[in-house]
Amino acid sequence: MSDKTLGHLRVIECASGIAGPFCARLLADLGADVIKIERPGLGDRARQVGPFPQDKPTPESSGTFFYFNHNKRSVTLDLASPTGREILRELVKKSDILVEDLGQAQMEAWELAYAHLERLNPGLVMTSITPFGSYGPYKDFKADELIIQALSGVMSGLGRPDKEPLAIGVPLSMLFAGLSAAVGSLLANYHKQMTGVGQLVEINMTEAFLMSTNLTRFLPAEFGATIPGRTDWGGILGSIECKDGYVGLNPLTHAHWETFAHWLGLPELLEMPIFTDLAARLQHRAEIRAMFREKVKDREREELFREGQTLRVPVSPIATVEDILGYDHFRERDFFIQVEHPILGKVTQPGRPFLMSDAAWAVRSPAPLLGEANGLVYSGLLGYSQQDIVKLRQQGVI
Amino acid sequence: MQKMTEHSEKLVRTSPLKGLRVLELGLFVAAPAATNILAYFGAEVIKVESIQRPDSMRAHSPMRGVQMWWEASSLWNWDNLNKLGITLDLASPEGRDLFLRLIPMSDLVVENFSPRVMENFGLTYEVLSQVNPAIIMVSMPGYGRTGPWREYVSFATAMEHASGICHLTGYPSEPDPYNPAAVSDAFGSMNALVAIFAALEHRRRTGRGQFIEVPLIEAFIASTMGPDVIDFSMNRRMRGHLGNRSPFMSPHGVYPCKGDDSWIAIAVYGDSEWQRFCQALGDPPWSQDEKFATTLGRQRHVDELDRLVAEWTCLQDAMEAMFLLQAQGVAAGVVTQDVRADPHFQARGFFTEMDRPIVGKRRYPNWPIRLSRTPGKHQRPAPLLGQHNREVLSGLLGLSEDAIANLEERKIIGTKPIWA
Repeated sequence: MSDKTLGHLRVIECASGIAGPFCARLLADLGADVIKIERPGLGDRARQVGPFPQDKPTPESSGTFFYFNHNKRSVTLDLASPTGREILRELVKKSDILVEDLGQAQMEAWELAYAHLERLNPGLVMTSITPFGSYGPYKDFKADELIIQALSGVMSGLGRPDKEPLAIGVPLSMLFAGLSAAVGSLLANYHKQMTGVGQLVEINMTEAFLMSTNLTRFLPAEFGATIPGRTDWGGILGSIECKDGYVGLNPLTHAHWETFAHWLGLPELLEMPIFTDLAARLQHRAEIRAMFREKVKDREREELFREGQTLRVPVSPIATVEDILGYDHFRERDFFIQVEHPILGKVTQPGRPFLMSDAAWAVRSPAPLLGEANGLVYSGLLGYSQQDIVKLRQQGVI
Repeated sequence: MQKMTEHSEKLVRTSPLKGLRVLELGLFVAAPAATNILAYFGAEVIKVESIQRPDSMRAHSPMRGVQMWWEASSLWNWDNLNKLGITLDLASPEGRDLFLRLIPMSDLVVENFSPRVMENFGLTYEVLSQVNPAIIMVSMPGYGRTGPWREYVSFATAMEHASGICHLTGYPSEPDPYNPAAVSDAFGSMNALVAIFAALEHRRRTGRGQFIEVPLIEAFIASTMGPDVIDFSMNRRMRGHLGNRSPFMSPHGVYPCKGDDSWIAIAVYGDSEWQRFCQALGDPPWSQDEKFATTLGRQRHVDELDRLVAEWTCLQDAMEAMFLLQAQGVAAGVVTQDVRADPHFQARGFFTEMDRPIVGKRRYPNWPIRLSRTPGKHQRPAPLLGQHNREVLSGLLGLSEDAIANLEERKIIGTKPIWA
């Protein structure tokens, strides 16, 4: 098994929060050398976001920062200072990929836009992540995950018809933007390897989030169907309460429905007019849900899962975090891993998203302490002397 | 500025993945969406179905009144844009043999069957890599190729259910978990693409291919549940769902506007933003109450606050209110009903119209990855079943017309489902 598949790539990250840092981390996980630029003193704003151990916030103990920043080197650099920006330019000259989320206006004002940087490094791949994109009526809008989910067109389909639309409780727009940005970066890098020429890669969270849902709501409408209202997305049955939790029933095809009906002892359902086709089932979903609920309410979730699956019925547990950490399936597959951090100690987290037979995905180092690689990068990579570094620190540049 | 050769100049203008050939054995979304993106950026993707078992997605909400209904599913038409389509009965020795003959001239094989299927076909990575050591094979099973759930049936929202994400979504007044949108397929596809490009990079330097497994449940948990798993690890607790509320911001929610099913999302971050928010509303008396002056105070009285905000929003047009609040530096956004009619998506040229037999002209979204020099684009509509049999079997493999006719007769290839 070979080590460090992307080990010949150097990435500079000027990003905060989730999307940009996640993008850069995905590259670091496969061996790229990722140098994360953080503001002196404050660092990535995610350092102020929990979860914290026992809810005691300190800049080095954020669980969110921990998850999205392993495998990286952290340097402090003040981009508001012209000297700081010169240093960034030096780093960019020695790098393959720049990931940033500072916004087009800011980068233009600082002469760090792609048009400026490609002159310094024609092979540079620059990946810019924004909430709404670099043009369009919403481009300068203030963003928040809630706002992005709303504007993406996805939220209007989530929630109950008799209540307000509902957000998904995880920042999926930022996560999918980060993931798409990693793909975009590698795609542009692939092209650069063949031609020597880099380019600008643009990702925005609003479009990214919409595309992550595979457009199941909007595309049938393009083909003549009516856009469905809010009907508890995820199928007709969704999650149904059982004795010790909730179980997910996911019948997709007519054959699935038949197996379900037989498994749960509801053969009469197959003859009922409310069951004949998709439209009828959607209209009468409350009744159908109630019938299924009656059959599962006194049964245990894991037993329903096992039994149903043995009969090849698409049933799944509605799991909690505690559940997934306890499942034998993940344990046997070594999916969850422990990462050791100087302040947090040993922390359990999800491991590799995929397995590659000839490449090593690994967490080689935990999320970095703020500026801990200043010496290695400024002296080792850029050749500054100790005096230079002291002076820069005194000036507040690093 | 680096000088470019004429050759480089030409390459710069073409698609980044030109020259890459991909064989896809996919159904529903996970594998098909991944190869769609590759084709969008210039790869040649050959989708391999069979007339015995065409892609099951073809049965998903087909347009009404179409005789060849298996060509009329909107989602199938979308997921399979940009590809060539052939049919091969891989359960037959001849079908399998033809597939293997495509391997030496291909770079990638991507499939998302349940684990037994490729094994039963005798088309494992061991076999394919013998034929072509540079081949990169990607398998995308729901639960993974090993483990107690290996054989389990997984569709649609099963991955979301089993991941833990449902318990983080729901109305604050109700204990029930809530199914989010079906997103795990897309997360699987994008994770697969990261691995694919890493493998291509690796192959460029070593000449060797490899096998990649992208278990959809693990790709999804790794992408979305990290901080929550860490919270449990550190603090042995789970946060539950807050609906549209936030532990750090108030007001933070979705409020009704004028008209039917019209809503606006508002998120006010901090006290100076709160003041600007009040100003935008014309500083109504209730907003000047001391108890709302701090985030803590607003959180404490969040029910009352939400009610008061809604009393204002329900008199507003959603779009107008959004622009008004944004002009004051307050995060606000309409809950968009139909992105096709939205001015921002329109201005950004988000859709491409493609014309295809049987379904006609339809608008499809462009992928949200924009490259400045080698932009992707939708190249061609989704193939009809077996549409490119001749182009591939004769054009690439050199089969004679007689040989092809023979395969059709024996139902190893074809252009109509066997039951049609």
